[in-house]
Amino acid sequence: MKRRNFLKLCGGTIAAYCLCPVGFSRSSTHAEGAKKNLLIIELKGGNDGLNTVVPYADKSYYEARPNISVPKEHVITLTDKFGLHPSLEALKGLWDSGMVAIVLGVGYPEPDLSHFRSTDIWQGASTDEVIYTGWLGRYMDLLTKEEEFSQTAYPLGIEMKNSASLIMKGEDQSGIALLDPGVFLEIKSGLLDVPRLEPGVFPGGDELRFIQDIERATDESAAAIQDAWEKGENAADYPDGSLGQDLPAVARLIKGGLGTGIYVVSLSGFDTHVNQLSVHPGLLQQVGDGISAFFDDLGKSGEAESVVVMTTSEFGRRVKDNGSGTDHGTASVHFVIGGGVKGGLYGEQPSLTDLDSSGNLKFTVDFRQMFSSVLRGYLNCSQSQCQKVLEGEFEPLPIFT
Amino acid sequence: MKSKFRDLSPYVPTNYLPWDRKRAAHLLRRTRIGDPAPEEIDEILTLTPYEAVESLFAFDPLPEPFSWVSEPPGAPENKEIERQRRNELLGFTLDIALKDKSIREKMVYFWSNHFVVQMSKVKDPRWMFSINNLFRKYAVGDIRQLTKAVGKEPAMLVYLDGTKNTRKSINENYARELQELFTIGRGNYTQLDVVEAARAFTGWKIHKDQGTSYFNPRLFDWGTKTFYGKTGRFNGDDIVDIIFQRSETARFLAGKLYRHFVYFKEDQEIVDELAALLIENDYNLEPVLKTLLKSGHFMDEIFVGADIKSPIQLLIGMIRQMGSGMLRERVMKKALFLTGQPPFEPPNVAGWEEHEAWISSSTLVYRKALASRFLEQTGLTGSNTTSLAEYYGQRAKDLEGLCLLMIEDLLPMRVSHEQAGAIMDFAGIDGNLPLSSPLTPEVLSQVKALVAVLVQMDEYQLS
Repeated sequence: MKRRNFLKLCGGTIAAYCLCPVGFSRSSTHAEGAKKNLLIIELKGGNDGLNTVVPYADKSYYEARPNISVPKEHVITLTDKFGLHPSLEALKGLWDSGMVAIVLGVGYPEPDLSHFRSTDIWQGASTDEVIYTGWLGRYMDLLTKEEEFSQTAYPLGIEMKNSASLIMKGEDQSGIALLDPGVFLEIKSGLLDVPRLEPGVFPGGDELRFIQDIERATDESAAAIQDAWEKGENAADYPDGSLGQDLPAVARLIKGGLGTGIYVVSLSGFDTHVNQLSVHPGLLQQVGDGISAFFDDLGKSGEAESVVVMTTSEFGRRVKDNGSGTDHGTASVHFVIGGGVKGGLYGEQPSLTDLDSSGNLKFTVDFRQMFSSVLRGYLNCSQSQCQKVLEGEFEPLPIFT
Repeated sequence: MKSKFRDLSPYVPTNYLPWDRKRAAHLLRRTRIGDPAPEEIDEILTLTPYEAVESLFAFDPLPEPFSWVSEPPGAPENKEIERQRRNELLGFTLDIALKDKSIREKMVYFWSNHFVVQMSKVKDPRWMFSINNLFRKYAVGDIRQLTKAVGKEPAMLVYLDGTKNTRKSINENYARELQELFTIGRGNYTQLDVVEAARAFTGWKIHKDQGTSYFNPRLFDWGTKTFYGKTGRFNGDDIVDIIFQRSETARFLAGKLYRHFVYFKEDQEIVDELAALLIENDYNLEPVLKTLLKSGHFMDEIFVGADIKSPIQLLIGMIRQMGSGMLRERVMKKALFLTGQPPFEPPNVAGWEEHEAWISSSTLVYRKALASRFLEQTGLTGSNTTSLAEYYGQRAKDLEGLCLLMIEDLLPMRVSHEQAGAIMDFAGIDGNLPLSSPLTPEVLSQVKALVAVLVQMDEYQLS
């Protein structure tokens, strides 16, 4: 009985590779010459910018925060006005070598104090009421219009997570969400390549199509990930915690020569409403030590120049403390670190006394300016491409040489 | 695709929507955690659709609390006690989810993912049990009363920093999430409402030894507050009352119920009707939920199999279908962690996103691996019930017949004869093999091969 004719069994895992004879040379308009990688580190919960890059010369900082300020003598001095939280000591070396750009006063108009809405605004790089795509997803959409990236054997973007988030979601392209590539590859190799029914002929068709799309994307890129995972090797000491697992995984894939150029990792716990003094330093320590180890790792294979790391967070925190912590705020400080970065301070520190009606900082730099700096200065997007990705014109900061 | 059923009028079986195995299984899948066992589909089909829904609202008495709930905490001195308590709590919640035949555990799951707390911050298993049993107590009860009670639970007071919210140091955390995520939704309140509500919730503390909360009047802000345009010396209960007077609250809760029980994309008209019912019933959930579950809209063919199983649904469903009995806590914890639903540890205060968020490159692979390892470890011989194979064997004349029945029950959507045939071909089934009682080892091994294929299919991820 030829029952199989009645149903489309989708192709196996191998066929996809035959269709895409794409190497790892990346001589496109976006990334001329050496391979370029962008890594976003999302600080989930709303990182307190004022206790990250401390305005230690501003006495209103100490007045507003009688319970949780960072004493002047503990600050790691960067300039006569600003210094790093002591837990970020590891970044001082990178700062001294001129690789660290610090952007002050990053926010957006009419700030929303909801974690979830503000995260959508940041990831979507949009303040539309309903946001359907993320800015990195739209960047990947743009990439795939070029022949070189139209059909790759590797995913254009990888998020080290169990669940894909908005930032990587484009109209046509989406990054894949992958946690712990080593375990993933081992487990995947043991699975059957079972039949897939044609979706749409029964209820749940949309859901089934969604699952099949993810499965197909996974199958298509598994061999490239495996190859890079086997070739790459870590050579640095990473801190404990989730960043200490995700960052070496990204480094290993980059060192293994994976074509993927976009990576996203995240660290939770920055919603420091209480006990900020006991919680926040440990988180910053993970960030500082993690980034430092990451560049150390890549530097050992001469690839430190091929990566830019940028931090994001849905908002900063209230200027005035609430006893032992800080409530939701607005503008905050962010880092752009890596190859081609012209180290120094960018943007302008908002006044700590001229605040909005909720007692929050008035932003001076739109977060999309920070994104456009990276898109234009690092990823070599044209002005019109950048406008497309960010859905508008946002003047870049001169962060890149 | 929009349902043809434009209101919540009762389901009447027709040729288009017969009251059959598929639809009975649909009702069970949506109202309990995990797929039903085949015998349960038989049982529910002996009832009318009306009776079937009613039968889901017959609740056992509330489970007795663990003895340690009123004992002093184990931590920080005795971490081993805490670890044991946590394991007992996990074992208890999974076990009751597996065995309870009513809708109650589905509601416990729903409320746990609505009034979210995370074990990693709450830490004390006594408090986690307490809020978990509160969800059971109010499962389909008065949502307004539940909301008031949740705010006084030690777990919530710790999780959203209520114990740090005092007259002198206002902490906005609970007041914001209460409005944004638990009741009325974003866009319906101002930052000033957050601050004023926070003042009204001041004064709550926890007796660490007894594990209960209490009100300390000296820490409470006795001043007047202005909230949603009303002014008074409000306390937390007053704030909840004012929030529930607003129809947006009913709309917000109705939307969430709809997405959970029917489909993740809201059907506006139906949600509006559901919201009106909530108000009409003064936020007493039971009659509202019954109306929804008894409706033609809920039973519509387009929603059958249109949900994506959460890892807990996937795991409990397999255990129930295969009749394997509960696995060890350690094994389940690991499986749920890898598939993206670590027990008592939603990612943030908004809870698990559900639906498509369950599926990623990682989790899809882990889900399939979980299913196949589950089969390897448990085999197909049930510990309590007749094994799945014997069940279908008694109802078929040859192996092909057995396989068709099994495919029908294990995959939620309707599968054509041809598609079923292709699945059997892939599993290498010799459909002409005769059946005997008990089944021969040869037949059993063929059935095992089929189940191994079915549980790794994308279709098995749906519910």
